[in-house]
Order: sequence, then structure tokens, then C-alpha cells
Amino acid sequence: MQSSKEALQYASILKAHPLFANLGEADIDKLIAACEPKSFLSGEAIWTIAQEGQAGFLLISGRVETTRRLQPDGQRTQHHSEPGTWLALWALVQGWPHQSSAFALERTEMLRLPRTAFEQMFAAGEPAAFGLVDAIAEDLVHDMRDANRRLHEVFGHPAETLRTLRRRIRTS
Amino acid sequence: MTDASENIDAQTESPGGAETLFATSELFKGLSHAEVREIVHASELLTYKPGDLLFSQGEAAAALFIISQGELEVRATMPMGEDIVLAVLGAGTVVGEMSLLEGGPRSASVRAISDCQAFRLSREAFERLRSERQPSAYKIILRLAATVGERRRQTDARIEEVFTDPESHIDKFEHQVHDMLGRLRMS
Repeated sequence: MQSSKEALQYASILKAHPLFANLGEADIDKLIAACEPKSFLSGEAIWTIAQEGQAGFLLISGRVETTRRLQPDGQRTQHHSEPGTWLALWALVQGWPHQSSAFALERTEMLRLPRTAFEQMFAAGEPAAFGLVDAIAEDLVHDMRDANRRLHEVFGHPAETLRTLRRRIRTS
Repeated sequence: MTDASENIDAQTESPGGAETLFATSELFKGLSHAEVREIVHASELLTYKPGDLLFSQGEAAAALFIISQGELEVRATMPMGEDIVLAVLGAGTVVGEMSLLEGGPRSASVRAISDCQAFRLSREAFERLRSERQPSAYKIILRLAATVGERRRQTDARIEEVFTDPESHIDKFEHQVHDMLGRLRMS
């Protein structure tokens, strides 16, 4: 259960996001009502690799580190501290396993939006759900550019990739 | 009064053919009859002769195409300058889904190799539906996120396998490279 002070804080964070800036107060309130507030202690896992993704997360306060291993780049670590940052939005699309892990670097407050709640909002034609789909589209474009770059590195220069693989076999 | 989809149906010589073509495509699954009709209205039917280009590698992507009839060839120029046939596409195939969301450069060229008809859904028309908050456009984005996301995860998993256990996968990778070079010589 959220206090009115917390609800106001969540609303102002959501309204600061360009994709939700034009939403009415009632639409924002419906999105907040569909979410559950979650607190994480420093070092606590928000999700782990291979765990089924069942919810998207909105950062309210604190700091989160996400770590992901992607070939051929190796390990990629990102820090998130901007209130209003959405994480794991793809989990609203499908229950794929997480390809990354996320840990709180300090006490962190988040809003957790379960996929089932998002689906209900989308089916009801809620404007906030459309805003979330716009955010998913932005992530999708970014992900595809990154995947195409990595594919190009691996298959666009096959002789170089083969040399790298042979070197790894020799040194393993 | 004749609406746009009736015009399209008349041109495809199949009543309701345009809507059936869209409705059976994976990308438009989940759309209601009325929503499919809305997407058909937003599209234009184009005719191509053998040799005509739908789009060229490197040009800014501006539309998705759904092949209604005929065959098309997908060709790409590789980093070393070789020209390679990647695929031959037939009726019902959707080409360039991601262009609905971004205008990045096309990764390949698509050319008709027989008399063809294809529906063109421009990003501009799609963005109009998005700006009107039409559920059809948002359902398509979610479908696109599901199919493209699944494809990307499978590719990531394959690349990960090769790099984490190169000894077990290097033969397969080499085979893929030879297969690619074989297609290169044939093209």
C-alpha cells in the first residue's frame, strides 16, 4: 500500500519521462496502482541470469548495477542511478530468461510492474500501456543495432573469427 | 463508395485477399479484423517487373513490404566486396519489419526476379497510426518485439556457444563459412 506522499513522488518521476509526460494524472495513477513498490538492500539481487523475466522495473531511488556477458564483447557492466529509468522492459513482452543479473549498489527503491498487470492495462487501452510500448520500441531499436554490430564482427570477418577461436582453443 | 481495401482487392483479383494475406502473417497475428483492415488501408499495393528493385543495400529504410505474389531475391555485398544471394522470397513473406521503427541503412538489396506484387507499409503511415494511439500499431510493435527478440536471443545463444566452447563448435562455424563462400561462388 503506497502513502499519498510516495504516490506523488512516483507520479513526478514518471511525468519526467518524455514518453509519459503527456499522460493525465488519472492515467499515471493507474500505472502506479498496477505496480508494486520494492526495496532492495545494498548487494541484494533484483534478478539473476536465467531467472524467468516476469516484470519490468522503474528506478525510484538508489543505484543498480546490471552485468551481462555478450560475445564477442565479453562482460558488459552498466550502472543506473537516474530516477525514472525503466529496466527489463522486454519482460513485459514475454517471459524469456534474464540474460543479465541486476544488483542494488546501495539501498534502492523500485516499482515492479508484473507482465500480467501490463497485459491487462494494454488490453484495456490504457494510455500508460501505450507509453510503455513506445519505451519497448526504443529498447528494441537499440538492441537490434547492438546485435547487428556484434553479428557483423563475428560473421562479417569469418577468417578473423576463425583465428580468434583457434587461438582460444590453443590457450584453453 | 469504394474504399481503399476494395481497390486493393480488385487489383489482387481476390475479394478479401489483401486482408487474408496480412492476417496470416505472423507480424499481424492478434489484430482484430477491423485492425487488419486499418493496416491494409495504410498500405499501398505496388507492382514490380523482373529486375526492379524494392530497395537497395545502404539506403535508409523507410517501409516494410509484404509480398503478395511473385519471387524476389535478397542480395548483399559483403565487407570484402563480394556479392552474395542470401535468400529467395515468395508470397506471404514480410521484408524489413524493423523499418517500421527505425530508418537505419538497409543491410541488403531486394529485387524482383519475376512479376511481383507487394504491399508497402511506410514508417510514415505507421507513425501516423502510432500518433493517433491506434491499438493496431501498438499490437504490431509488441509482436515485432516478441519475434525480433526471440531471433536475437537465439543468435546470441549460438554465438555464445561458439565462443565459450570453440573446440566443439569450430568445425560447424567453418562449415557455415564454407557454405557462405559456396553461395558466393554460385552467385
